[in-house]
Amino acid sequence: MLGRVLREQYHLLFGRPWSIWGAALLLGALNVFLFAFDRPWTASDGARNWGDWLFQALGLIERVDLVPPWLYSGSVLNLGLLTGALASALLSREFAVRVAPSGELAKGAFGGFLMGAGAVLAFGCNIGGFFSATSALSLSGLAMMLGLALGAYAGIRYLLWEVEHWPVLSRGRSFSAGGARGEGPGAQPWLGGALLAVLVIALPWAYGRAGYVPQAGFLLFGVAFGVLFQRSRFCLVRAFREPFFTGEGDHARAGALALTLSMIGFTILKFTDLKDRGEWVFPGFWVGGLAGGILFGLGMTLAGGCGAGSIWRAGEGHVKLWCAVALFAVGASSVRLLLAETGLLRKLGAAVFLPSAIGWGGAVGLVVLAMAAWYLFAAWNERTRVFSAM
Amino acid sequence: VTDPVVAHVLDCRGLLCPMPVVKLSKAIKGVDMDAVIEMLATDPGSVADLEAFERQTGHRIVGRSQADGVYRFLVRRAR
Repeated sequence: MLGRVLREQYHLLFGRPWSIWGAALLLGALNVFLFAFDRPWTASDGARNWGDWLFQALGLIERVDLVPPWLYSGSVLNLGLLTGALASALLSREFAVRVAPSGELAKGAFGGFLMGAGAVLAFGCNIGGFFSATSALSLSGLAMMLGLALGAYAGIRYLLWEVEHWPVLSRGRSFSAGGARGEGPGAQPWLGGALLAVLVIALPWAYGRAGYVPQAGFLLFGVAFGVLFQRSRFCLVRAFREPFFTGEGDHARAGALALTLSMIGFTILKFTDLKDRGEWVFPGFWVGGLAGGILFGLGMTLAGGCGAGSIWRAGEGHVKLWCAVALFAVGASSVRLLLAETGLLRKLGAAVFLPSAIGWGGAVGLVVLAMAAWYLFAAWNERTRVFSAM
Repeated sequence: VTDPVVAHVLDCRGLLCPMPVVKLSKAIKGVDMDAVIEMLATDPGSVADLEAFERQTGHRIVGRSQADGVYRFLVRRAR
């Protein structure tokens, strides 16, 4: 009897996709928990840490204060995201190393670099610079939102042009290896279960024993994000792209709701002085946020995954996104160094904490209004297809 | 049940969202009304992508199967 119950629950969790609405709301709530625990979520500072670490290993930079990737908070979150998605894909028999045609791999790498550069200008990827920054009532987040929409629009128009005029880029040799075969469960679910046990029990225990308790927490948060994304395929690239493509608006509406929830949590933490009010308020209004958003939006559309989406899909085995993640790290690290050297990093805009400008009520109202506008635009456009390319 | 006659095979194996749907939206304009395109994909995301494509465009998914990591869809042009 117990075996049957377990099989049923396994099928419920890993045999069919999770609701994107449920996943989006959980992500919004988890982001608040993560901020309460230490810091909000972003994928770009972890990626930059990887790039810095690579450049240091190659002898190109010399930084004594560089935290190793297995201890840096953002990096541990990303590693959890990657391995959590891998475990989840294995449990669902959806893992395979999938090698795209070479033109696609190049697009992944180019898109990744644009994402890295955009994330520097906007002080974070679409998660940190937009989702978390807007939650933290930073006006730079809304500037990035506008940029992301413009960049995603340009990206999908380019892709539609590309299949008409440059079809060879997405043709050619592709193959996959290591995927689940046949009818039975096979080895993947067992491997996934074992990996998940290592990620949520053995590694946090080892971190704790070594005196790195926060890192154990970051790893667990990352794994939770990875499983949630892999099972629901909730995607912020789709949220920005699809209104201009098929017109589908589910992900945009779910994203708007998730951000509203996350913003309310952040606001409570700041209003009650449990967290510093200036946290995650970036000097990127409006040049940095807008320009970074455009570059990032274009990059994520070409790569097929955002800051978080590239990392979790890399865990699912898509080699195009291995290229994207590698160049995301290189781009974030090198462009940051360049802007810091030239002093441009301080010329990207003002840090506007909305409650200081328009009061707490005004700030919350403005973000709710922006999210309601996004939600209604997506719903209206889904019906009328005014902005869709179909 | 026998499969309908396939007018065009669209191989999207190895491609990632949104490329399969971008290619499908082009290919479907190149076949006759009511003709069926067979599409092959390896991205697990293509299942939800195709369902959204059906909802938004009205073209019908008339068959689907999955074997050894390859998703196979039969899409009928409806307009």
